[in-house]
Amino acid sequence: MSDDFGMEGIKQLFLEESAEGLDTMEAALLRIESGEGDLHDDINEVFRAIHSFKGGSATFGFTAIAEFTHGIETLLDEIRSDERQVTDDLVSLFLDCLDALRLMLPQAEEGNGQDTTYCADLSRRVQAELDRKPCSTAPAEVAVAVEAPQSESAPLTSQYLISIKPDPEQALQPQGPVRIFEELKCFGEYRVELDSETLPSLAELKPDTLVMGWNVFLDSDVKQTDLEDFLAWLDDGWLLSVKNNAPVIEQEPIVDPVIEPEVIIQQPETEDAPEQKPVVASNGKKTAKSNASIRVDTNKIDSLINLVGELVITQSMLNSYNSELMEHPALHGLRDGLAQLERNARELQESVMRVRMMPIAATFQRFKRLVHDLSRKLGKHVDLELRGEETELDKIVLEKIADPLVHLVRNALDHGIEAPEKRLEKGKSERGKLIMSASHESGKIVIRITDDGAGIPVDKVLQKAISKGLVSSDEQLTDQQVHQLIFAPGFSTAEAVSDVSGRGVGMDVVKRNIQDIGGRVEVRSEQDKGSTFIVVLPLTLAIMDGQLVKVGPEIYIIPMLSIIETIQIRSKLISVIGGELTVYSLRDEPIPIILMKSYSEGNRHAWQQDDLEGQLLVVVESEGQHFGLVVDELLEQQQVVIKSLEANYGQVDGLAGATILGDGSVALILDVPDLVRINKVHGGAIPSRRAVVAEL
Amino acid sequence: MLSESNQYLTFFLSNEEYGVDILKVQGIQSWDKVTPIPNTPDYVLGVINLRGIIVPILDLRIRFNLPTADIQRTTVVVIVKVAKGDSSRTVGLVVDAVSDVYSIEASDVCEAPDFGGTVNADYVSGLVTIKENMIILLDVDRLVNADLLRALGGAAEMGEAIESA
Repeated sequence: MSDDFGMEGIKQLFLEESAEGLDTMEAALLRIESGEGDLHDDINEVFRAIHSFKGGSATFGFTAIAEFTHGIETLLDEIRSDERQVTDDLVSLFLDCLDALRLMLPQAEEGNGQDTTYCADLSRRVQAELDRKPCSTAPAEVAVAVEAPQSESAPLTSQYLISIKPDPEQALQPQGPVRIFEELKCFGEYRVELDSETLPSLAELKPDTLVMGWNVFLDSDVKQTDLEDFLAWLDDGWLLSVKNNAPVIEQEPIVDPVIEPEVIIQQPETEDAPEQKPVVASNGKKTAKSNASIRVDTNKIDSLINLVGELVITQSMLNSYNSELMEHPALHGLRDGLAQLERNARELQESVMRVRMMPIAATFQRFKRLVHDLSRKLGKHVDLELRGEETELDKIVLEKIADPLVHLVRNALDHGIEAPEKRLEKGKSERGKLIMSASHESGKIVIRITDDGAGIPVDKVLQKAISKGLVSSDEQLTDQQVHQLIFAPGFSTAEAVSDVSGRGVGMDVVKRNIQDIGGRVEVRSEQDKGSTFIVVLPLTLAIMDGQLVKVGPEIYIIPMLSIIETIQIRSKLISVIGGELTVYSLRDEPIPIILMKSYSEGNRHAWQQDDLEGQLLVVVESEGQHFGLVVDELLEQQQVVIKSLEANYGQVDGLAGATILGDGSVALILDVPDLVRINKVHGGAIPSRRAVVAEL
Repeated sequence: MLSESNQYLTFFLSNEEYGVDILKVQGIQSWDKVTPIPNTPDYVLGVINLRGIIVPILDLRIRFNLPTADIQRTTVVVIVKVAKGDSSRTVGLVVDAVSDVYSIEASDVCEAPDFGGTVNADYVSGLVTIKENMIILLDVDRLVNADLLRALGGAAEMGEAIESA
């Protein structure tokens, strides 16, 4: 992409910017609907965004999009000029239009963007709105250097002289000069003169740069500062000045050419105009909003992270030499250098990891829309509160967590929060509340989705589970255990399948997806008070905090995320049930124990109860239940770079991946939920597969 | 399948000489400690760290049911890159010793008879005789993929069998 930044590159840029523009519009529309923020600002923001969208589409020949947006723009323009009231229906219509545009963009990108059937219906709705209150819809086509008719009787104000000199490099961008002229229309009548002085001679003229400048004479009753603010969205590098020629004097100002790269205030000779103030369009809203950022292919970042990971490994390899050898006086310099290198390597690693971190805000914001649409559809009133939007997490984690969160929110709205009448019956406020919060908690990301709805109906869930054969009817389950049942595959309490939720593929898929990225999900629920779903995630997928343990001659890594505690085994607390399942009585809670040696060696390791006396039991949590892993030795805790086993080999039962230790050797990372799963299947030990593969 | 002339890297396994297409060979490593992976067939010795990537090591002696031998000074790991769908995977093969690189004319290669023995004919792309020595040309793509599929898929099947029992 960097190599051919021609028309195709510019088009690509436009498409990317448009996608962002649509997001901005959506956010602003949702603010308008909720009544937060400044209505005027938001309307203007939407208007500007849709406007540049239209301009850009027309520039790149996406006529269908340009025509489609025109109607929306007109509506917005009327709202902006207070000719029309904003209603919820109107906002919904706009939101639908945004969705349509989102679909039209990729089509346009592929070059078959002329499919207008999709938006025909929406266009009709837009037209219907327009017809409801007829008003002047100025034609969109604007030629450069329009000679706008002189005002007959402008309600007397000021004449502004705006001189515009576009940055030659940026004149081809979607928000080109055409846009300025269109924007200016809403301020009043104006007249444009071409500033031909800046034209170079024919020999110096480059066909792909824009060298012209314009002087705009605008009669308007707006304040100069408003005008300046309004023009502030122009990018840096545009030479732009606004000047007030106080009372309107029908006199042709004499124009000086703009020669220097600095802004020159064009002084009409008839006026002194002492309060004139040049404005360089660089301090406007736009600059304030966009953080300086670049787009980078994630693959490049990943390879950078891999390299840094290697660097850190090499670093710790060097460190292991440190001890004896480095005591030699001649090597002091080397030792200091190594210490310095270590610091730098660590910092480098942290910085690189941060590159992948993104605030969860963007993901959270999407839920405003989801909640808006869903609550309308379900006829419920729901207020969404977002907390901790600034919490940063790995981009990959963010991408993978979006779907599970959507599901949880859908469930909360569909099953959790009751209909308004029902809420009133229960003595709750008519409006339901949904809180989504994200926070860092001891090296983990915790996302909570809390609703104040009905909670999980324990009886109903239990009945359903019994009827589906998930539990037997004589089992005694605690409420907490019943809550866990909603994560069972094929479980759904919805009486009828709605298109919101209730297909019965929900929660188990949610749980799987979260587990796949090394996280876990828990639920707390109280009847009629509401439910909280707690999603605990690793900070990043590339690096993990791990506890190194020794099992026989091998080193395994247990993710810190799943470790609860480590205790020394007292053999009399072990009981063997049915000769197979072994449990340990941990403070009177029986927890199944897994002999890591059996797992590691792939056989049923013969052992006596007494053998385990004094051995270490790492208590881990998986799916709300505790398990004990018997290991030989606890080694250090460290951050490990997660390497894929699948790339060259494949997925192995009980393993999440591998990592490379300081000495360059490979250690395997345990996948605790999977380990528990196979332990359940095989009852304490994993039978050898070696026998199976003997035939060849 | 074979082009006019191909270069083959040959190696010894229990006094037999085998050849692999040199274009598949990524490098030759000296033998080093491997990290065993639980629940894998015997011939998957484990994984090693090959410049930051995790590479499984297959022992061809065990794979071909040859008598096991101790690790010697000449024991090396031949790193091969085999096709895996659209991408590729890197695997190490433990052999007794590397021998030579030969240019072999396609016309000199004879088709392998069905041995019915330890080395399935599916994995042999042909036989060629050089200086009165017979060299068994291996199709590493098929060999490695079939092996790993068996190791992984077999494990899954087994798990299911136990689950259903």
